[in-house]
Amino acid sequence: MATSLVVVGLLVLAFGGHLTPLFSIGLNPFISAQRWISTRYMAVYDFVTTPRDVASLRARNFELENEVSLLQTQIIELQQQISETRILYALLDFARANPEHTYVAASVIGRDPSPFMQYILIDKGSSDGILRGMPVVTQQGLVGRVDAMTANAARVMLITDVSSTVNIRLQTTQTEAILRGSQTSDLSVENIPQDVSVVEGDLVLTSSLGGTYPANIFVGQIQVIHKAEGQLFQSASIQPVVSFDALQSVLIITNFHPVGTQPLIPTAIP
Amino acid sequence: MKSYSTSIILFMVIILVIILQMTVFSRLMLLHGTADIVLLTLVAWGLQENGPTMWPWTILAGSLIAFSSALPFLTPLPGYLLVTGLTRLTQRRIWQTPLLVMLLLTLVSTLLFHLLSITGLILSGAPIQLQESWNQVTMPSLLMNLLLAIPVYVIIHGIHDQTLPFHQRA
Repeated sequence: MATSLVVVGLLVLAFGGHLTPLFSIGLNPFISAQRWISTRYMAVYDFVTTPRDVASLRARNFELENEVSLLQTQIIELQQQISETRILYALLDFARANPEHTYVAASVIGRDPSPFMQYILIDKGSSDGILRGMPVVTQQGLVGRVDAMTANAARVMLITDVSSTVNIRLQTTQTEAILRGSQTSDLSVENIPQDVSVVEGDLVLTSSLGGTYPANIFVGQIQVIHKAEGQLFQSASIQPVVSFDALQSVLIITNFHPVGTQPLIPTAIP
Repeated sequence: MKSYSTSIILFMVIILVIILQMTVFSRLMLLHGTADIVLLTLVAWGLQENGPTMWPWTILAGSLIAFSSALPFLTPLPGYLLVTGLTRLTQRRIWQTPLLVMLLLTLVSTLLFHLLSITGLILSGAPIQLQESWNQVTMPSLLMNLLLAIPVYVIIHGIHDQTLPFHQRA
């Protein structure tokens, strides 16, 4: 009973704040000891757990780096797709603007292995309706014509090839002439009569003469005129509209059949 | 067993090299010349010690290039056969300095191959200008081939080394 009264009395004094100085004196060593132990414990804890964190961080960092690489790859792929889509839209615009022809779009998959030959390889062949001699264009202008094909690929002779000749027409004067390629991929217009007034910047279009190409496909512009006294004809260098080094996609005009590709079938004389 | 694995690796390497030639190296132009890594590969493999006979692989590479290229059909195959013949002839005599021989053979082979190409084109009626060909195509191609000769040799040597039995490896 007496003990209970002492305890109650101490509690009343404690709650009343009269024992605080006494508690402070009594608890300080314990608090100091706890702080000391806690500090050491945390140091040991850090020492034990920190390497584990570094390892997990490294693993996480590795995962994130992988993810970044994956996303960067996806970005590159998407940019490539956007670029291809833009080219295809441009080709589609060209096809819509020239509805008289039917087209097959193809991607450029390579170039001729020989530096002497200006040819490209495309990913469409005879199974897509491609035939030898069909004209090949881009949204900018004339590229060349199909030279050979397999079922799923074809080889296209560019107009810059040394063996290429194209019958062309100068737009302003309506003069017919011949466009030739060269080993250096330079294009020149030859056989322009001396009395024709050719001006730099004149547009050069295909003519239907010879039946190799359809008429009015844009080829380029007159850049430099070579006119010499005593010569039968004048000639000119032209700036092509198509960038032949950066060809990615082309259109093949499939409803144009050059003269000479169809075999002549002899008919019986009645 | 060894010859089978070597044949499979050679076949794959030649196909890969031809694809790379048409998709990558034909687009990397110096003036109007391009490197010919098919030629370099044939020369490099032909120079390997204890290497396989390169004649069938030369015929394979030459035929595929002839099929893909617009060069006159009979130009690439004799060109590559000539290169392999020259390599074989040289490899038997000078084998102590393969890198030097690689450079020398690259020089001679490129010139011979281009000479043959120009001859084929002239015979087929193409209006080829010799000086323009030399300045704009052959010389830049030669320079590019010489630049790539050592890397191609090192790669082919590494691949060839892997096809050998362990005790014969360098």
